Amino acid sequence: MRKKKSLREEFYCAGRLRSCPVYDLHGHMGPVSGIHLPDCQVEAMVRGMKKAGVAKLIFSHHAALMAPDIGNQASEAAVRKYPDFFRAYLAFNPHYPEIFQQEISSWDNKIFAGLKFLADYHRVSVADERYKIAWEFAEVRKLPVLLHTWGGSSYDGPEQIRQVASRYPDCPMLLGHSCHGEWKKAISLVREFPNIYLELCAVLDERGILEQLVEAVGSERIVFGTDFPWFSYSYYIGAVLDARITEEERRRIFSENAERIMSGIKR
Amino acid sequence: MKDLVIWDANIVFGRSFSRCWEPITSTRQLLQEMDRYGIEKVLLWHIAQLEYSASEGNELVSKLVRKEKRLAGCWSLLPPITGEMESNFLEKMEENNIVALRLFPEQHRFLLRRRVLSPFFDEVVKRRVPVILSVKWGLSWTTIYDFLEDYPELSCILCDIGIWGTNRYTWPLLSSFPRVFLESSLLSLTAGALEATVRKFGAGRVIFGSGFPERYVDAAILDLVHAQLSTEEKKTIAWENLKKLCSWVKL
Repeated sequence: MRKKKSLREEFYCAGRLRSCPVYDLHGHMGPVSGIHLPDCQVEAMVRGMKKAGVAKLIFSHHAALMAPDIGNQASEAAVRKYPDFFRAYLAFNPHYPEIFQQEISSWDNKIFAGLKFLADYHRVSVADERYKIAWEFAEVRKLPVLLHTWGGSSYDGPEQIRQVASRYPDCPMLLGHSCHGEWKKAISLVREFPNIYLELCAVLDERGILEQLVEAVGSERIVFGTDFPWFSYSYYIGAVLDARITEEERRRIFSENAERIMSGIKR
Repeated sequence: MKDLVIWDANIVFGRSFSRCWEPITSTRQLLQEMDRYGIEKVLLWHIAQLEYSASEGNELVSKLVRKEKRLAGCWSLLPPITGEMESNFLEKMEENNIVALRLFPEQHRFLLRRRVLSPFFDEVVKRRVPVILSVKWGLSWTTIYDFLEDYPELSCILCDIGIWGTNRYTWPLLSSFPRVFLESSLLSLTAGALEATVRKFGAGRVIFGSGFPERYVDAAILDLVHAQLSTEEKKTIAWENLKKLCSWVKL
């Protein structure tokens, strides 16, 4: 009888995982000031996703995060054009609550899958009163919130996350970058709060961290994310395939956890 | 799983004093890992060259690579004026299967300038010994630019170029200095950057490296294997460029 290929063998041979859909829960789109991103336009991103067999990307357009005068309409336009590939996080900027009020008045579940907070850049703590309007909107609807989180940050470090995690227990919180560098505190948060998940963007360029996270909290609370079009799918999927974890754990990270968190994420 | 021959230009051996990563601690272990990933040959250095002593670390590298054909080594260089390096340095490189140099000016506390390194370094350039500069270890882009202005003919591999896309730093160097090469591991990290760099400068300017054991080897290999490049371009990056660079060396 022919032996079943491992996921690693599958990806080496085909450049995609035919037996395991990959959901990327942390993406962006469009240009960004500090980096030349060769494949950041929507068509190039769709090509990149098709090539690597990525089933769906949940993203926030850089304009939605960095250019309030353009805002979330950039994300919306991309989802409308390629609904099979994308859903968006509605980016919330605490300096412009009036824009958020206006945008949520026409909230469309087919376009948006959750909210995105980028507190380190907007320089307001996620535990600050100014985030309340967005947290409450997400809490009531049980919407996932993807937060940029970074070790040592006074805006979205582990301490700030601890404060909001207990305040909004019905809101699934995806810790983008897993409180980068403060891995033990990220692990503690997962153990303490059932609504917290770790996300792998900027984690996988360092060998061994994923293994530590899986060993400490299990694979059920870890989701795959890439910052795409910042990071390459082949590189990031390759890192998960190279990590010393089991095939079941890989499948949870690539697919099953995202499916559980994001209802309706499938094409 | 793949047909591509691979030579890896960026592997560090040994235990770091801060245990930043799970180390490779024996030749046997390294060869096993190379077999797992299908890597035919590696160009390695030892962490002790950086963290302890350049000359003692060089000796550790020599011991590793002297008898194993699949391994080649890098020695670390200090400013000649303090007399800390071996006499007949370049000749001894050849005896010890050392084919490249690594410089760590921040940790070894010297300046990457002609005033510091010449006339010895003129000989390094003349003999076309590749010099590997790792951006990871505190080298600023300004320092790299100034250094290459001092030695425009230098064969230089820029490695560990940074995790946040660095094309705006690296492309002007590729454009200005024909013997500058990019090690691929962190170039591959940015979506489409490997392909974009090859489209602009050709496959002859990128050299495969993994950054193992600090980074995942499959990640770097898979980005190359499945890049939107021709088979010839992939071969050029995977091993031919490093082989060519080593063949230029006249020790």
